[in-house]
Amino acid sequence: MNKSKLSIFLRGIIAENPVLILVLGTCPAIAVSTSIVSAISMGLAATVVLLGSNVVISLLRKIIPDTVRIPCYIVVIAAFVTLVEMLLHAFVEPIYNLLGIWLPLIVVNCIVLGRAEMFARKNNPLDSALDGLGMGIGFLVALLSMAIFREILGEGTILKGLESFNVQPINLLFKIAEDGTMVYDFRIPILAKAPGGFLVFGILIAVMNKITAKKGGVKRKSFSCDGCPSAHLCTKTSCSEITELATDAEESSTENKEVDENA
Amino acid sequence: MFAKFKPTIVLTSICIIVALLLGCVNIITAPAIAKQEERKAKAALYSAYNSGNDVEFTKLAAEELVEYSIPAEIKEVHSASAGGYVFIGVTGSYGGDIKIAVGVNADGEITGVKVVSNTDTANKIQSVLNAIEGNKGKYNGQNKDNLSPVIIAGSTVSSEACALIVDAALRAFSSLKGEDARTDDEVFADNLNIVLDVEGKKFTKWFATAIITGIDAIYTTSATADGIVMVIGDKLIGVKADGSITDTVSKLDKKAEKVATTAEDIAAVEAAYTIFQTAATTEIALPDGAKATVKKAYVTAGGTYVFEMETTGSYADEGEYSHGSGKIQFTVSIGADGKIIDIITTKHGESKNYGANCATEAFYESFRGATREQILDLDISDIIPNEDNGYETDNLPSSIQGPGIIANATFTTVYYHNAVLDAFDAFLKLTEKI
Repeated sequence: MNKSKLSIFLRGIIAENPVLILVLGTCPAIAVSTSIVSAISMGLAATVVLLGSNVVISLLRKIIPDTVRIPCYIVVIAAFVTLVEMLLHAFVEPIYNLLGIWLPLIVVNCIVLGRAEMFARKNNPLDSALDGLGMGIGFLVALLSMAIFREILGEGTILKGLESFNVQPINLLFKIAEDGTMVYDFRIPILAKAPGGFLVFGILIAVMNKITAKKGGVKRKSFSCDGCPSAHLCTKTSCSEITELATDAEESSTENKEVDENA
Repeated sequence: MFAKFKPTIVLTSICIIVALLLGCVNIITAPAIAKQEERKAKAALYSAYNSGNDVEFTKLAAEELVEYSIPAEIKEVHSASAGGYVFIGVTGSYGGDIKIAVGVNADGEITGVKVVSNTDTANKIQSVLNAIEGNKGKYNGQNKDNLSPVIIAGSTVSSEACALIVDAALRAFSSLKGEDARTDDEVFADNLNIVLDVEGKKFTKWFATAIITGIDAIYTTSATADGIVMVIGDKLIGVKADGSITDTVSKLDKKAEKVATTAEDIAAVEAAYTIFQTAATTEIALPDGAKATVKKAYVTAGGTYVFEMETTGSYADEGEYSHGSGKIQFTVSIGADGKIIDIITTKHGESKNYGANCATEAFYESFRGATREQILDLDISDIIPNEDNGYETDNLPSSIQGPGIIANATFTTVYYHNAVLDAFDAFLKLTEKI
């Protein structure tokens, strides 16, 4: 796989992580990241939907007229979500029950429609598949990162959600005696609740910003006004915003590589 | 031409293809899902019966449910090979229907309760589940003689739904054992029919019994040809349309045995019947300026005015947990002396244990003999029920005592009182006193 293909795939995991950099799909991210099992399940389900919908939309990109592209994308995305839902319900019911309402809500997850609109409709199926896969794994990584903190520190357990598979959660931060009294309890309960979710989310965004800042910041690309919902209100002719720092860092990195090669 | 319709054609085609593909997937997944539902249903049976997998269950046919007069709330009955049954009942709860499995062993004791499905708010139903499910469920071990409903504060509606199904399950068990599982209300309703030799008639209490002495209550149907039933103590004595007096049936006698009516009772019934016939009402036009709460007006030969009323609001209509059950309807009779002779609530949707007290004998008794001035003196007409005073209990100052005061039901009390005052206004207009 050449570098550009690899970069398309890797972009969605770190540089353009949908949750921590693009801040998309925040609602299911906070709701589902209370346990590691549900985070992984949700991440995998979203990845399958992203992969499938990106490929199909890319295949149909020259057929679907511009005027009905959004309804067509929604139909395709909903089809994949329904497919995943039916398969999980039939063959992995505990995970289906664990995800609950958040599974069908993948249809309205901004990441899925966003990538369809921003990438799949402008690129070939292979690139779209790589983008979908990368974004999906990025979503999973973000959810997993949050879930590790929230479940271990907030719930004090690990492997919660696998009871239907006869795997009991392991209590890490608390112990209950046989008579029901608490022996010790070092949990931080707020992390398991919504406010704690936002707190962990914010901390991870800060960490991600720090990581990407070292690499020169997030390169912002210019894109046209097509598809922008505010186009009719905006007075600009384009929405480009390229940070000088990012540009300088990139040029500097390219020069260093040339020097090394020459040496 | 094609370009004009292309968007429609493309979108429609995509929808059709997607629908077909999903249909194909459904063919593959449907059997597996059906098996799971069956497995879940079986698991609910074992959970409710509190047994291992060695017990087998046999579902009773629908015809058997009818044959044994199983309560309507019970939708399925599963007979356990170890004796006893599991009853699956459905009733309305806070967010919609709730389906509950109740296990009853051969001795008539509850073995367990399992909520199979519900659409109630998660945190509200969870507290109920914690209380009634599992080995330490609060219903476990109870039977029909010592049944005590488990009501959880903050989840009253869900709790009452569960209690209803548990009670229905125990009654169903009694029916299956050949016992009479009817509630007292059902026995009473059946005996009203039996004493008059009619069947399936719905009886309502006659609103103005208070004008007749020696009789505790009179029950009538919508058809005068059925006759009426008079209640003296716990005795039901019928008077047919031709004036003949029937034998006596005890109010709550499940066997409904008829005994000859005593001469003393016959005399009391005949005297009461004479007054009942003269109390027949004639509908009259509403007076000018009658309030909207006054729906109909009648007058008797003796100058008693009877008003059919409907309040302008109710807790069921507007309260925090309103369920749009409508306003309160009642009938009030005011004698020529300006005092309330009797009052009866004919329809309401108020909350059990609170506003529903507007349909109790104690509530009616509190109004009997009351005058307009006594009700005005309560000075509650200006209280406007709203979310500040109507949603919490005991909002009326405890110092307010008098006719028709329901301590923990501001909405019901205020709307009812305002309507009663409107009835008095109509009475005064009709008697030209204003």
